[in-house]
Amino acid sequence: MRRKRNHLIWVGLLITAVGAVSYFSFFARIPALRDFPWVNLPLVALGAVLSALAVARAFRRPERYRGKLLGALGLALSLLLAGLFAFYVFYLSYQLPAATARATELVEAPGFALTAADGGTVRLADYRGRKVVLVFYRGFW
Amino acid sequence: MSELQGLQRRIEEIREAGAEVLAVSVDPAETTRDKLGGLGLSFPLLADPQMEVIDAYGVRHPGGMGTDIARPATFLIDESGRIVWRDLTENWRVRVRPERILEQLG
Repeated sequence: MRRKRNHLIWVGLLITAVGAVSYFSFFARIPALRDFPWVNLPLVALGAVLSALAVARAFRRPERYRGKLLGALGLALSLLLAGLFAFYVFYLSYQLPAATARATELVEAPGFALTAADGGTVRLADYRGRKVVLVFYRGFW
Repeated sequence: MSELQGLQRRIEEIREAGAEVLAVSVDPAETTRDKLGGLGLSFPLLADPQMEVIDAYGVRHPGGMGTDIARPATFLIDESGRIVWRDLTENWRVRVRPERILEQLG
């Protein structure tokens, strides 16, 4: 019997990669799926499991499936991606310094005049009489 | 930055509640224009490359991206310029939800 190509190697790796990348490129825009990666974590886990199954069948049924070496490489890459994603979600993103006393205790909002992306200058004082939601964000990444 | 897109989705409600959103980062204005200009954000994106305002509010994250950046933080300032509510997350992925801001705006 002719041995089949072990497509599961590519499917597993692809699902893991899509699971990790789409968190940053898409799902992080949806607050509930950003705070906890309800879509991406299961996808990444599923991809890693499929990669493992691909290797398992290449070794258990070598007469039917090819891809021992490729499967092992795919599994290693899949686990690496899944591991990095989990590391980011459960460890790296917690690495913020404790809030400063200034940030927690300020009462009067310090005034400012800053350049806006469209070129104009925006002063906090311009908004006196309205409420302001002042959002600090990490940057464009 | 993706939290800004979440705020944009609720911007009409935020404005109806009497508030405007101002977003501040360490990025120079040109960088912000190049990188975020296409997102259709209708509130001002302010540049604080000298980190004067970031420090005035005590939200510097030393070495946060190799270099110093602002930690994610949200301050609600009332009509008379007083800070009446704030959110300083402990996890930079987890940002304040627009619905919580709307709750606070009453």
